[in-house]
Amino acid sequence: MYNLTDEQRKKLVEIVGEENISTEPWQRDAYGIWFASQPRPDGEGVYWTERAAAIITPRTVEQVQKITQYCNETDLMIHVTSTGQLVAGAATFDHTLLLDMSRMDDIVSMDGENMTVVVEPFARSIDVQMQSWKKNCNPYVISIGAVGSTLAAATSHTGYGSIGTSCGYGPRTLLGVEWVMPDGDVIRFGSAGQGSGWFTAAGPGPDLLGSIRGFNGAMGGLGAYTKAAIKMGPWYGPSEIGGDEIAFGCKTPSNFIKKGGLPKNMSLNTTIYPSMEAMSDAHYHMHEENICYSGSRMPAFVLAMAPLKDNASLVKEWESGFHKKIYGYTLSNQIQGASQDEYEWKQKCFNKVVSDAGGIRMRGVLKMYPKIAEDIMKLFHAGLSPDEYRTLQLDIQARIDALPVTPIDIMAAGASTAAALRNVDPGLARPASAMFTLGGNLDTWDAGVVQNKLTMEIKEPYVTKGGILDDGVDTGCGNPYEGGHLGYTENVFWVNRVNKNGAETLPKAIGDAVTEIQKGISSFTISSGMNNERFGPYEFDYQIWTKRIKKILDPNDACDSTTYSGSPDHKEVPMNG
Amino acid sequence: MNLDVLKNMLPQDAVSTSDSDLQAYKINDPLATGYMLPSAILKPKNFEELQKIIQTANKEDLKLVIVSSVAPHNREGIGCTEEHVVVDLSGWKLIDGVDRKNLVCRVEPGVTYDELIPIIDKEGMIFPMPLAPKSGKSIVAAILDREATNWPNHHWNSQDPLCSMEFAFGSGEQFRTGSAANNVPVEQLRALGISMKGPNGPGSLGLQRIIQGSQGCMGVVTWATIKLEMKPTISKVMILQSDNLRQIEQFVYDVDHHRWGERQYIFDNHTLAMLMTYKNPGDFDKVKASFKKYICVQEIAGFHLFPEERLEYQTRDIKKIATGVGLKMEEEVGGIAGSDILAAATTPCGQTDWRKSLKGECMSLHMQTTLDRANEYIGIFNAAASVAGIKREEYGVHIQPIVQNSSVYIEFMLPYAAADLEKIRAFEESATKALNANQAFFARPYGTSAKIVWDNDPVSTKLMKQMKGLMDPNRVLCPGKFGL
Repeated sequence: MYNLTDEQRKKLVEIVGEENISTEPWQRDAYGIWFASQPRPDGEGVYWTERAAAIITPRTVEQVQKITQYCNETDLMIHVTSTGQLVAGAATFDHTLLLDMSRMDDIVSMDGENMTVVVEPFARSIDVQMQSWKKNCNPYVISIGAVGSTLAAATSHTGYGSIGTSCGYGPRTLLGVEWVMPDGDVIRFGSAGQGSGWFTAAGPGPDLLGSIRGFNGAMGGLGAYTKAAIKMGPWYGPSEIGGDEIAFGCKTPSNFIKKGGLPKNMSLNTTIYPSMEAMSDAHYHMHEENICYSGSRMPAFVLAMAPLKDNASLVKEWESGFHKKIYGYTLSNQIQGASQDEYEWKQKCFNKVVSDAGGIRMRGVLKMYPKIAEDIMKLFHAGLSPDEYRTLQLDIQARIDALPVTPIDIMAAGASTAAALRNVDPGLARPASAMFTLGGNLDTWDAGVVQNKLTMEIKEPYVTKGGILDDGVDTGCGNPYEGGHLGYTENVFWVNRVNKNGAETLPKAIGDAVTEIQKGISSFTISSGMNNERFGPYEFDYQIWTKRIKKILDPNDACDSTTYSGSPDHKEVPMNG
Repeated sequence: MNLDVLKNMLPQDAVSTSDSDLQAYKINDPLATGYMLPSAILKPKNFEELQKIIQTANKEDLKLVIVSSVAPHNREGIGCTEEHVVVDLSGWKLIDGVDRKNLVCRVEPGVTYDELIPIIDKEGMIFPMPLAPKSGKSIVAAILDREATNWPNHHWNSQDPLCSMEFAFGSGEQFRTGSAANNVPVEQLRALGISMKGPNGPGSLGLQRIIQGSQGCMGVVTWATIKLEMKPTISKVMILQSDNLRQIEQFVYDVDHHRWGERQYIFDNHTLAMLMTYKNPGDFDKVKASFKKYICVQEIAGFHLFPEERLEYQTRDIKKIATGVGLKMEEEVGGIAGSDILAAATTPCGQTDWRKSLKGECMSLHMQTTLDRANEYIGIFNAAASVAGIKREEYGVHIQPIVQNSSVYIEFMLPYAAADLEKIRAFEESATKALNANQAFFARPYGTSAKIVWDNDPVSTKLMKQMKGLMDPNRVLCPGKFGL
């Protein structure tokens, strides 16, 4: 354990004040994280992160700069965390000062006409959203939930979310960054650096954002980002939280499910398909014409889990086979219209796309209508001829459309809409409390489907052996981005924590992920610093170039960069290949 | 310069030192001075030959300038103040992986708009275009220069329409970006179902962004995948005009906020008349007089799902916006249809830049800001012009909303006769300095801006130098560019 010397502590107190330094071991341990951590070489699980030397909560860019400059003069390093959820937000060396940015939480400015917002690191998506709706704008929200940092999701890590098709993909919404570089210089990229305003990071000449942000960001390991300018998407819903007619517009879950229906220019659509091909076909057609405001594919296991209160109920439900047979290929899409005319056109198009793809638009709780459920099972699994299929499909759809709208329908639509807009976690970590994920390359939807298939090949043997929970294997969750131009899926799973089997499985599964890279997939969600050495040799040795950047920008090792550039041997990397 | 080593390395027809060949690489802009003609032209046929050239240049201390477009070369991007050799990739013409479902294809650096458009048109796709590019303009070069394109709602990021790419560092090392960043051959990636459309990575690297905008001084791009768009099946092109730019501005904000409409331009009547009469400049005055001071050209379209209904509701809703800000939507003004304007704006203009048609030469000065500040910068430019004795009716302006209208690209165009060169040269400098003093943003620095912007932000300039050291440590690629 590393403890600050009196001199170090004195210096840091001068910078941020006594009340903003925490050095008690229990305080430091509270910032430890295992999620997405490095596998131990003996296969006995993963490393827990290091206990940082101190937790520091700066308030200003000047304080961050002075701390960084001080680290250049000593053997201390900084690592930055905002709303930190993954190992990227934790120290990997014990002589690290962990900068907790929670006091830098301002929305610096918001421009509704140009649809941009400038935020500090701890401005959360929900904070931005509460303000931006008043200006008819909506920020991209990642799947960690709206409690996540808008800045961190765009600058530092990957993160996926259901409104990416209309609001963009976080890292590609960045219009500028203020960055305290590892040597203590403060830089603003692009137009902000020239004093022209926060509207682009690109130029003059090269777009220097490329030095810190690729598929992943630097994960807290290359200095601190103290401001980010973000491009927002449009918002066609209510401007205030809590209106009576707004089903999702309240602050607590118990309220939003009790209120009235969705606004008339919005709908929430759950659709089911007989196969991955049919689902993908619908997906492409609905997004290429920008019909949907949000989109996500939720696997059957997650759909079974979401409305249930406990694991025992989940086991019973899952083992009944109902979800596997009905919801194997399910899309959830929100439609919003900028005008009523637009909404109606979009809904009409959506209905046609679903129908043409052989899908069914669902409503309410299917178990309340056993005959319909039975007929859907027949439709999807009875091997009907095309004509028989079409006839039954239309008949089922007509019966569903004729169902009365019940309070449960309203509740479900409200809850699902809120979940889509804010990425409310449907309790993903609950089974076994040990969720993990593989996959998650950003390319096309087709490529996401391929990667999901490859991940299933990795996962299946571990499910068979009991190291991973039997979740049906196909747990590919995915979203479209940028009007369907881009897409992704990642395969979530749950490690068995009942015995040692699960602990051994996780590092092995992460290790097996290299087979996806060997086959042709490029970087994906776990392609962070700690996996660079494993993946980089198959991807044009990107790990070497990352280390070269680290060597150039951080010559004094002022940043704890394991999560960015991997093992700390960057000084040995030759600069010219 | 010892060229023998290059001559010995490449096939005989891949090297030229003839004066007439070298002259073709002279920058065809009298305002661009101080640049040297190349000592030789090299035309490698594939990556391996290119790599050998770069590696040899590193060993022999040769300097290289990469060229992908066909002459005449109108911009200073290929300008080099040091003795150098041109590596001409304009013969690299591969177009493949044309994928309607995923709206993407791959192009090599020599592919021009004339060559790409008919191929993707057959598949029901179009490409967001810069304003009437010259025939022979390399698409890859235009994308790497971040030339403003015409479809703001589909322009999600400044990197667009660039997806993945292959390039060589200044050391000659090969690299690929985005979802092409995997060692397996392209064919194998495609067989797996990877379209190479992913724009980011690998890992934490965003090297494609460093290369974009660098005017060839950070790497040599050998192919790129590019984002395509669905072609409308039905469309109208509307004209809205006003003497008050604020009205146009409000219209564009409201339409783009809703992500309505498709391709979109804002011109003043001078620029519009230049564009519409470059084949018949004698009609310039008549066309200019037909329009009010500022014009917005707005395409409205339907695609495959109930296209007529889409066209109808968008037309109705956009008209409401227009009426709300006091504008009228018209399909034709003064005998010129909106669709004619869109056609002229999206069609390569031939060998000669259309801007030069009116007086033989044209000063082009461009910058970026937000739409609400466009009027302010026009005022600054006007004031500088007035001091220089240049009247407002002598120049035009094109305002192009980009990146979903989070900002706009502004190009001032001043046609001039060769006899006025010195006056225009002085004005280009004074106008640029006046704009710079008021924090205009020169995203794509050319002319005076390429000399002065670096002092505005020394920390960014230092980082740019560090990136040059990383990507081209021996200053082989376009040395001197941006002072590097």
